[in-house]
Amino acid sequence: MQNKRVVITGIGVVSSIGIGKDAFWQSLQDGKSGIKPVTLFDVSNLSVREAGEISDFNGKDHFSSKSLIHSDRAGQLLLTAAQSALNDARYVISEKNTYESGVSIGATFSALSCSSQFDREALSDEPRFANPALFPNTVMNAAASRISIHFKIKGMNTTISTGICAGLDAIDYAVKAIRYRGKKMIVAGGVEDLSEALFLGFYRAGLLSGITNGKVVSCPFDSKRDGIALSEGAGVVILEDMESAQKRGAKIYGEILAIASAYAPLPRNQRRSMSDGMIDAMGGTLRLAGIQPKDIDYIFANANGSIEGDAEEEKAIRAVFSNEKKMPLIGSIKAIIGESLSAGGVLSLIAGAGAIENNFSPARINCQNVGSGQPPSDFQNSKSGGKSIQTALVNAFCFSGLSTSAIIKRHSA
Amino acid sequence: MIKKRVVITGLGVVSSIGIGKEDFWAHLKEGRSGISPVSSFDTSRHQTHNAGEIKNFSLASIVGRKPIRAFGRCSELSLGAVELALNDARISAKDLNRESVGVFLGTTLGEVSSLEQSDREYLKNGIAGLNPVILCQYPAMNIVEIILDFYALRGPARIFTTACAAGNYAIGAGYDLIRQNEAEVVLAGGADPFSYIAFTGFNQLRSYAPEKCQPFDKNRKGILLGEGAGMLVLETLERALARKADIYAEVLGYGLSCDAFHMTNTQSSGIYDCIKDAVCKASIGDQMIDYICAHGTGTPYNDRAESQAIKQLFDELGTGLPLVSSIKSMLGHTMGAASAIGAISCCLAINDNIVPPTINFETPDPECDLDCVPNVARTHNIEIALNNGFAFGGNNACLVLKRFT
Repeated sequence: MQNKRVVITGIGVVSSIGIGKDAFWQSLQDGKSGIKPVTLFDVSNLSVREAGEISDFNGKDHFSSKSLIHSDRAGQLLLTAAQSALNDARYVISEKNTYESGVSIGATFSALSCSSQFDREALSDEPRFANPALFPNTVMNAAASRISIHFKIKGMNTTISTGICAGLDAIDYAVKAIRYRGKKMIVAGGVEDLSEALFLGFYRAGLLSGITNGKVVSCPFDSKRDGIALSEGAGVVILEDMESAQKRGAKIYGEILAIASAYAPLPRNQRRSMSDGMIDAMGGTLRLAGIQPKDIDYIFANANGSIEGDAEEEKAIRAVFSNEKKMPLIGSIKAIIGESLSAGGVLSLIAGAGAIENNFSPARINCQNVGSGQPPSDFQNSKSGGKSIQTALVNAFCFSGLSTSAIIKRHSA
Repeated sequence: MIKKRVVITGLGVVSSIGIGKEDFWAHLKEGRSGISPVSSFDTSRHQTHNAGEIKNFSLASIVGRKPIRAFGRCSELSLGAVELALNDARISAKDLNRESVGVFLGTTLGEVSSLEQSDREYLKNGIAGLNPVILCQYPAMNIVEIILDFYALRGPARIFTTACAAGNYAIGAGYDLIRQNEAEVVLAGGADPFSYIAFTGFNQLRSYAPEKCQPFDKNRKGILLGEGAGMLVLETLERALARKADIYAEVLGYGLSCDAFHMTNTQSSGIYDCIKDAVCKASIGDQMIDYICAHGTGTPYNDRAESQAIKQLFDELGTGLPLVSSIKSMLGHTMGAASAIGAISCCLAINDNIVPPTINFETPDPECDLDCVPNVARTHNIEIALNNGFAFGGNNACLVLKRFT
């Protein structure tokens, strides 16, 4: 039996460069950076004071106060993106279709803020003064569960927490639920919110751009890169099996051809070669999709300004595409939006859907000095040159070696 | 494409009543409680003081060599359980390096100890007190990466954080991976450490029992938290037969549902939907389910909802009510590990034809009108077992296991 084909029929975005898919795509095309001074918490004592904050977000612009009761910022970002995706797909949940519908979300740090707040309240006052309303948000599936509760989606609800891979991993879970478990529609995506606990964690771990000179620049693949610009966001796609989507006359943005994951284990007494995992993930995805490297028009890279990570990804891409006379176009939207972790892979996928839909490729910013050695022109190219994108590869790689890649293709019956 | 049959060939358990399946099962059958006064932090300012901590856990004594990097308690418990499961399955990690081996793990709070340690440091010394090594242990994917590194595995790997049903989510997804021919072997299960945050949280929700956990009892007062890890070796039937492995059970399928109702209050309808989906996906037809390893947390709300759902569904099926017992009466609620340890109990119950008891049972509750195997284990022929897992957010997952024939 042929695998069911899975298509994207709705898109919802809440990001540092725009709320709603059109604003998001426009900012990508214009190269309008989402990195700005942090206002959500006090950063005056830190050398890094900028991040991809969504400054103009207020959950109450989108939902009644009652709907948002006890929901944390991650829950609100995600619920807003989910609503916008469901509206975009013109998909209405009813008693009739609720059991064939589900939710699958990537979220890794979304519980950090409430967990830490609850913990600190208990530690510094008395445990019995800690606010019980915070406690339900200390579980990592809280944000995803808000979607089910709000829209009454009863078929399933899953959260996956594999860091930067989590968003694409959640999409993989959704695709499998449609293929293997008879689901017709899954609200799938990723979310991460910017919180003081998260920011300080990345700051102290030395992963942020600007720690040494105070200048935050997200410059993936650039030789001057010095770490990531942390950001927040939620990206949600409505995934449907193609037949039911067509039957209800849904607009189709693209088809998810395949997703594959791999890992490069850390060898004893040696340096890890993270690129091995990336090569396996990209190669596995191409194999599952049944297509060749030459069929890829654009690579939405994971590159986020990490000194080691970007170099490993460049190495991996060169290995996978080593037999190609001409490399596909390569870009990382993280230059524009920063690293939004569990949301990052989904936002890259949504950028891919936009590139296919509107025939654009994201502007290249902050990338002047490319690559380690002699850079090929394709790593510098900032315009698609009018060539339309049919098939895109989307990468999501964790700092520690987990790797997931996905392929999205222009829809054709 | 022919779907693969998936069997369980290795069990690894780290629990407050025993490390390794022999101790665990012997104590489970005799109804031993793993509950004791909390020793990992001061509870003098909490309303309650008991939990199911593992007091004698030493990772080094299980794995015998030093892991490559330092890590937190959740990873330690998980890695210990993986090693025990691989040994039990008589699989050498070296044999796995060339294949795709899935590592699928569920957890509720993961490396929450890293967060708690960081919070304490932060309150004392501010930003400068935050230790990068400890901070970097927090992200949940660490837990699977440590397993992948230790055995030099190439994945795929997933961390499911569907709270207290996470173990079943991981086992279910692992089952799918093998069934769809994407891997021959998956290490699947769940883990959670005992934590200050969870202990304080359940106390603050007023759902923590003062002394003991009494599932299905009329006077039940709430949960007790435990900690632990349960890992299972899943593999294709062909592979298991070829290497003459002992087969504990076959995974017939799993069910998922979402209450879509409330963050913390379980709904009977969601539980009903989940068990129904499990029974349907497992295609058991009119065969009986002989034993249900209940979610049975011991909260007034959960046990009532679970009992209602079970009664309603099995009335409809007309196959008679299975025996239903809760191992949480002995272990406390091990959160992300709970349904994984439940799955291990089901395997052992199927093999021995013995249902572990619900201990601390004193007064029947008309609202939980089930045979919960009070206080004493019971010999009972078990062909098919159902393993329940329900979670915050109404994220439910139930697993169906069958004696392999």
